[in-house]
Formats: sequence, structure tokens, C-alpha cells
Amino acid sequence: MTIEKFSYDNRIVKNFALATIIWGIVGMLMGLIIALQIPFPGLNIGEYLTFGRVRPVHTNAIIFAFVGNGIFMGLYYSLQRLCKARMFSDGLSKFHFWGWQSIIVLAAVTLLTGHTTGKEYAELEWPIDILIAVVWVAFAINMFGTIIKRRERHMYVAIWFYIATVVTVAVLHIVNSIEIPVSILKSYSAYAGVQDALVQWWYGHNAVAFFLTTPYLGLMYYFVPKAANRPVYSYRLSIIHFWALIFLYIWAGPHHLLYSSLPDWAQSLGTVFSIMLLAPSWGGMINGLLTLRGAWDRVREDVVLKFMVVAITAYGMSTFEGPMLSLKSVNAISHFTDWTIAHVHIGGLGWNGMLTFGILYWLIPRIYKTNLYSAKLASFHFWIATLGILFYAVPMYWAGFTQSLMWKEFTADGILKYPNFLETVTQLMPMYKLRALGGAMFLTGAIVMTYNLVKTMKQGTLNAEEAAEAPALEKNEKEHGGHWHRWIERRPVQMIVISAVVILIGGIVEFIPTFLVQSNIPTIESVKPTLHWNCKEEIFISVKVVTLVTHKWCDLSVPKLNAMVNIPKQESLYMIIHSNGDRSEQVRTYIVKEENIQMYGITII
Amino acid sequence: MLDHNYDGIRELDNNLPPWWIWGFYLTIVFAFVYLAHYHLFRTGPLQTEEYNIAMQEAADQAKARELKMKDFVSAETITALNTPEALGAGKGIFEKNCVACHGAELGGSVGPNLTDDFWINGGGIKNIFKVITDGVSAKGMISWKSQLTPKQIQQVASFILTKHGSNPVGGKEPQGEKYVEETISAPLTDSISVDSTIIVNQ
Repeated sequence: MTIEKFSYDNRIVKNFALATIIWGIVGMLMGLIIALQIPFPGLNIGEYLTFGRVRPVHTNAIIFAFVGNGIFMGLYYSLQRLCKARMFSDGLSKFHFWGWQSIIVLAAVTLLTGHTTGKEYAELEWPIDILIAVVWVAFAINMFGTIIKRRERHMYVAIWFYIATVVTVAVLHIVNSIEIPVSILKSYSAYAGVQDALVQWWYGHNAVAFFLTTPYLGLMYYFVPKAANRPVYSYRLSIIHFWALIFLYIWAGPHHLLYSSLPDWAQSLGTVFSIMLLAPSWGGMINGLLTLRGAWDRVREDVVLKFMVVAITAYGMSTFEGPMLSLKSVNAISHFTDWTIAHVHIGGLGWNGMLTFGILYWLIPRIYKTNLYSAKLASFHFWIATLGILFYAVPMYWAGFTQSLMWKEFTADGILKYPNFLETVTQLMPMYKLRALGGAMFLTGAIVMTYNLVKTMKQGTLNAEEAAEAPALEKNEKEHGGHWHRWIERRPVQMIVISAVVILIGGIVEFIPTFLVQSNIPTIESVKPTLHWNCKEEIFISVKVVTLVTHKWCDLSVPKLNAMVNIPKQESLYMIIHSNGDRSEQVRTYIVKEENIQMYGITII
Repeated sequence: MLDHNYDGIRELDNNLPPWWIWGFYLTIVFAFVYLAHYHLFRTGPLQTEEYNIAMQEAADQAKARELKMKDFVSAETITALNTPEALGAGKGIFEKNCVACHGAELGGSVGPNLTDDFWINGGGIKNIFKVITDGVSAKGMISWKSQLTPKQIQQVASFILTKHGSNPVGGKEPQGEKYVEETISAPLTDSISVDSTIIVNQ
């Protein structure tokens, strides 16, 4: 048995760490701006800094820039050590890093200038979608390559989570982004109506599952036992909660579409799979918290462990709340209210934010071969961030209940008590101000952390090439028994294939009937099924038919279309909004009589 | 302690906590019971049924309120009011809700002129009451019954009638047919009928 010498690439870890910090500050600042724009509408400055433009920049920056770089930071650090191998290719690591940062910059620029697909968390236009797919594939090759040439026979549970993440995110992104480009920065989704809604929330829900949850569970499985210096609580729990989690999560998307035109059976599947997710989610929490058994005295002193305990607790809270919100009776109260905003921020600020901070405080001094510059400042960060979460979440819960109650309150005459939406908004102003205060506290903590970590980096030196050594794996090593699950832990290819099958089942079962069975598409009598036709050059986009009092009759010039079109029919009249997809061109509106449409050879279904 | 060692991370193999494993089973049982309740035995109301139940309840409550209210008016029983209090209230309602489309002097802009002899959906207190209550969606007139009580609609309809023949400056050209008081243009419908939007699962 020969001992091989090699080195871990810490420079790429440092780069992703810096990106995490910088984009974290940017993303939180964007969040603070939109939080302030609600109580102080005057802050909607100019075209580019209005709420509608900044809000998707905030969500994309937090999810894909802050958490995304956080995943890559932790993954590149832990994967090398768990595999006892350097990353597969330094070139791919660099391409992954710079590709991902350019996607973020392109995202910020296009969103602020108003280019969006309008699909939540998938707002980026088609050229950026392609770039994301390319960079993700490069990342996948780099990761799987590292696993293949590992020097550790078995893959640790963190790696199972990494594999499920990389496979599923690729599937989600590609399927949801299928769209027809009409210009360099405009495209239309290949899906329409209720099918579009189903695909979008299969994507949206599982972006939470496989971007914000599974990779962070992988990080938890590495960094919590490392930081606490305690063994993982239960190997068998990690097996059952991993497989159950990735299988069940994918089905739960329809809980975003309760009480909608989505077929009832699909809504019910969304509900019951969300309920069944409770135990697998809590399995992760138990394995995290109980790993700290015997180290609780250290939690009181070690700020890294404090961050981790709050993160795991927040994970447990929001994964209890999620299934509850997917019950129809609870959803009828929460949906469209600020309750949802509170819920996602328990996850975002608590689970993702606090775990990222904990990992940064643990990791930066290690790769810089020094100690943390100031434990006091880190402790200050912990307290202001924890208080910030409370100041954020409590007013939002309060606001959510208030909104819901006001919207549904009737007078004795059977008339809505608050028919004007603004009445509910003015009622919530104090809550919105408190929420902004909570966000400002959280951001302040992050800025203090940045100072602390920069000082730490300055006092140490980056150990860019960390020397390591390990024996190479012997080929044809005889397999000896042990737990049945050890079989797959030795076989990365089978692990990839089986986890891909497990995550595909739920989507397939929900999609196929919704796309193929006509009775799954409910209609309202006054609105006829959509109309599709093909022509050249120009695009027609459907809108709700409006009343015709003030519109002149127009003849429609010969339509030349090349994309799918939906035009709802009402009383033989159509309103068509007409545009080439060019932003500089004024959008033209036509009201067309049914006869005229037939004149051009367009038939109505 | 298992013999696993990953970069110094060891693993215990504790049994699954009983409350966790039984909780997991319970949620699986819940899933089957839930699906059977709604989709196999159909003992629970799905959303279309829930909607229809809620609309029926609202209609029943409206009927009950009608019976209780002394001053309730319907399209059948309505008469024009002429007290200064009622007309003043009607004027206030008009200024708050109707001016945008019918003009401050009732001469019409987006909506028709309300001061001439010509009415698209029939003139007279009964027809006006009906149009305000149910709206005429094809023409852009919205239904006001969710925002105004029958009493308030009676007040504003009465106010409109007082402006008949005022011939305001810049009034819109006549639309519809000349209305003579005795004729009733359309059969009256129940002013509190259930919402006509029916959801059909094909």
C-alpha cells in the first residue's frame, strides 16, 4: 500500500467564501431597501430602483448568490477532505467560480433593467438560463470527477446530499426553463395555464428543497461534527431521512397552488406529501442537534456552535411550519399574506444565514492558519442576528394574521368591511417598519462579520495548497459485509442513477396526467379554452378581455406569428395586446371581432 | 460507535427515536386517510363544492338579513325617495363612486348621460336600481351590490332621477332608447341571486 501525497485546493474555497460574504451583503441590502420601500414609498427612486425590480434581485441574490456561493464554499472544502482528494480539475473549479459570478452580475443587470420571464425564482432570461446550465454541468463534472478518483472507499452522508443536489437542480432548471426565445432578452415559456403553474411550483418548491435545504444538510453533516468534535448521532437515521427526504420533497410543489385551477387530486398530493415530509425533515434536525450531546457546555462559549444551534433550530421550526401551511384550512388563512414572508425568512435568515455564518467563522481561520480576530465581535454578530430574526419574523406573523382577518371581515349588511386594499396596508405600517428594523439588525451583524473576517485574513496567510497524504484505493478490494447501505456508499455511479430515479418519480406522476388528461383543466363557462396558432415574425400575447366601452374597433393587420398564442374568448370579442417583444416599441392594443379573426383563417376551438 | 471515519468524523448508530418513527408512520397513515376521504369515498368537499357551499351560505344569510331589515328594498318593491336626507345621502354616494364614469353633472363621459330621456337598459327607479345592483358587465358597468347596501342604492338611484332633464353643459349624446315610465324593459331578476360564475369541471 503506497501513501500518495497531494494537496487540497484552499484558494477556490477562499474565493467562494469571499463571494458569499460580498453577495450576502448585497442581497441583504437589497432586502432592506424593499423592506423600507413599503412604509416609505418615496424610496422607489427612478425606474431601476422600484420595488418590482429590486425584489427579484433580492431573492435571486440571496438564493443563488449568497446561499449558492455558500454551498460551493462548504462543498469544495468538505468534498476534498471527505474524498481525500484534490478537486478533479483546477480549470473547472475556476470556470465554475467565474461563470457563477458572471451569472450573478448578468442577473442583477437584466432584472434591474426590466428583463424578466416573470417566473418566480426563475426570472432570468434564456441566454442566462443556458449559461447557468453550462456552469452547473461543469460543476457536476468537477464534483463527480473528484468522487470517482477519491481515496476514501465509502461516501459519507454529506456526499449523498451533494449528489442529490447536483442531479436534482439540473433537472429542475432545465425542465422549468424550456422557453421559446423571440429576441435576445425575451422568451415565452413552453408551458401555458395550469400546466405552467404546476411546472413552475414543482421548480419553485424544489429550489427551496434542493438549493436551500439538501446542500445545507450536507454542510451540516460535515461542519457540525467537525466544529463540535463529536460523532454523528445516528448513521441509520441519516440513511432513512436522506432517502425519504429526497423522494417525498419532489411531490410537494402543488401545495403552492391550493384553491387554484390545479386539479384537486394534484392539490391533495401536494398536501399529503408535505405532511409526510415532517419526519424526514426533523430527522435532519435531530441528527444535527443530538450530535451536540456532550458538547452543550461548549455551545455556551463557542460562537460557531451557537450559530449552528440556532440554524438547526430554525430549520426544525420552518420545516414544521411548512407542512402546517400546506393544510388547506391553514393555507386559506396564510396564503397571500405576510405569514408566507415570515415563514421563508425563518428558513432564509435562520437556517441558511446562521449556518453560513457559523461555517465562515470556523473555516476562514483554518485556511488562513490563524485564530479568529475577535470572538467578542462574533458574539455581537450572533446576538444582533438572532434578535434581528425575531424583529423580522414576529411583526410579519402579526401582519399576516391581521391581513387575513381584515380581508375576510364582513359588516352586518354582508358587505366587506375593508373593500379597499389600502385600508389593510395602512393598518400594517408599524409592522413593516419593525420588520425593516429587524432586517437592518441582521445586515449590521453581517457587516460586523465582514470586518472581523477581513481582519482575520489580514493577520494570517492563506494556506492555498494544504498538503495531505492518503493511501490510494486498492482496486478489486474484497467487499466485507457491514450495513446493507454500505453497498451503495462504495458506488457513486449507482448512487447518482438511483437518486435521479427517486427524485423523478414524483414529478412524473404529477405532470403526465395534468398534461394529457383533458378533464384536469377546469374551465369557466364564459372563458373558452385557449387558442393556439402559428404564423411568422410577430407575437401576440393573451390578456384578460376587458370591457369595450372606450376602445375603437380596429382591423387587425395580417398576423404573422411564430409562437404559441392564447386568446380568451368572451362574447365574440377579443382584445389582443400586440408586441414584437422589443421593449422600445409601443405595445399596440386591438379589439377584434370574431368575424375578422375568422377572415384571416383563424379557427376557434 | 461505528468504524466509520471521514476526515476525523465518527458515526454513532443510535436507534431511531420511537416518537420520530411513530410520527413518521402516523403521517403516512394520515396521507392515505386524507386521500381516501376526499378522492375515494368522496366524503369531504373538494374546492368546487366548498365554493358552492360558501356561496349558498352567503345567499341564505343575505335572504335572512333581508327579512330582518325594515328598510330593505328590492327591485320589485323599490320606490323613489324624495326626502332631503335621502337625496343628500344619494348625492354623497354618487360623488364618491359614480363621478369618474358618469361625470359630476351626470352628463356622462365613459358611461352614458343620465340626465336625458334615453336609457340603454331602461329608465325609471326599478331599472336603475337593477343596473346599479347587478351591473351590466358587457358595457363596463360594474355590480355595486358588494359595496353598497340596497338602501344606499335606492338613495343614489333616487338622486339620479332628480337630475332628469338638467341638460348639463358638455353632456354626452343620447344612447339607448327613449324611455317612457310605464314600460318595463326587461323581466326583473332577483337582486340577490348567487354569483353567476359557474365553475365546470369538464
